[in-house]
Amino acid sequence: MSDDYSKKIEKYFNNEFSEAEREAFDQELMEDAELAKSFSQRKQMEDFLAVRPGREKLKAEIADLGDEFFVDASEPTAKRIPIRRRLYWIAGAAAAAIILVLLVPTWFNAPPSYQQFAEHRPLSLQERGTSGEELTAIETAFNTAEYGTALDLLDQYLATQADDTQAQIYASIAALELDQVQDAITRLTPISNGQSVYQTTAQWYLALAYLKQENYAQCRSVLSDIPADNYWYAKAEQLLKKLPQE
Amino acid sequence: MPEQQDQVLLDGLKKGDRAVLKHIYQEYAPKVSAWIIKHGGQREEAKDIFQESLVAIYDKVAGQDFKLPCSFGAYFMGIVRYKWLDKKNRNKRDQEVRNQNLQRYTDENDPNIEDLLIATEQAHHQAQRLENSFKQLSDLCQQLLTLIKGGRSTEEIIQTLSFSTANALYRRKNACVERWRILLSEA
Repeated sequence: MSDDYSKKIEKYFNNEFSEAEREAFDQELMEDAELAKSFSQRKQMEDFLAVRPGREKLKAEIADLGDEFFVDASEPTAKRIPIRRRLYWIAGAAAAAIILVLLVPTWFNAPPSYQQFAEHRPLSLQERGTSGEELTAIETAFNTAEYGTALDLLDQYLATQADDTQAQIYASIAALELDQVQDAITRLTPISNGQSVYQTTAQWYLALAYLKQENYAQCRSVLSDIPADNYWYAKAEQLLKKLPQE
Repeated sequence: MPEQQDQVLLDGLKKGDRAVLKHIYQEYAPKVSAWIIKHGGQREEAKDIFQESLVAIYDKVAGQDFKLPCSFGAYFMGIVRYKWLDKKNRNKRDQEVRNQNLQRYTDENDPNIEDLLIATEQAHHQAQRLENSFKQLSDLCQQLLTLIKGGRSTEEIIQTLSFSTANALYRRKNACVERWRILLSEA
């Protein structure tokens, strides 16, 4: 490319043209195909410089998410369940087997329970300007099922980070686990009516709260609102099928 | 038709919002994994295609006021399929063959967004060329161009990068741009 072209184009991008020069340049762009081609390439470079920081940020954010979500399907959550909870599972399964033997005649009519559906994804709070230690303490408490501690810590956190919807959801789950069902419903209802990405997550847990209250009509109504292309839809369908008929 | 939540996902992706990105992974990782494995791929490949697809969408929509013509899921899964078929048929460069393949794997119910998928792939390819050539520039050039575009004042950049005068800074900038232009034409 000629030096003359190059100088003109740089002057344009450095905003060094007078109005008259700029008009003359626009005219030249329409008449000179080679200049137009060089200009178009230079503009692509300039546009790329503008979006490149965001592109780098995105790449950094997703670098570790793949490892977290693309786990072996044969053990979808094995890595995330603490050993203590796995022992509870084994003990629970053994107890369930005994109960099943005793209750076979009535088993198939029993309504679904909260416990059957309450599987929580591990909490991983995003950085939002608070200290890493505080977030780690909350995550550890929740992920080891210390829901009393988790709820206290989450409420302290929410006192300064009230708009963190993920934290609000997990505070509701902790409340549910502590049998503070009405409190959970109060926390979840506005999120389930909102527009955030946690809207359907809130609907799902709201349904579980109603299930815990044995309020099957409300439970069904909330589940029916979960859209078909959503992550929670399969679970919602499963629970809907098991709810007692009105 | 897209709903407000679809646009929320797209805008979150554009901003690199971690909570939104997590939500996208949570919702689509199982679907992408299942689809790629069904079509002869491995989980590891599914993971890579997933990441590339997110960046490709960024390359298409960043810097502009882009409105989704369909649901986010239809767009994202469309890009995933397109990328996978492109990878599998790398030797068959013929665009027509790829488009036929794409049609074969597209659900009847999916919206007709082929043009958008092709445009997204082109934007991604172009961004990769720009990125690869930019990375071959010296550290000084990379920093200088980034700082100037980031709106820092000339005085500040002169100080940060230890230039003697504004004139020297802009002479260097022009040289960096010229070098980048040459690298780009070779890329």
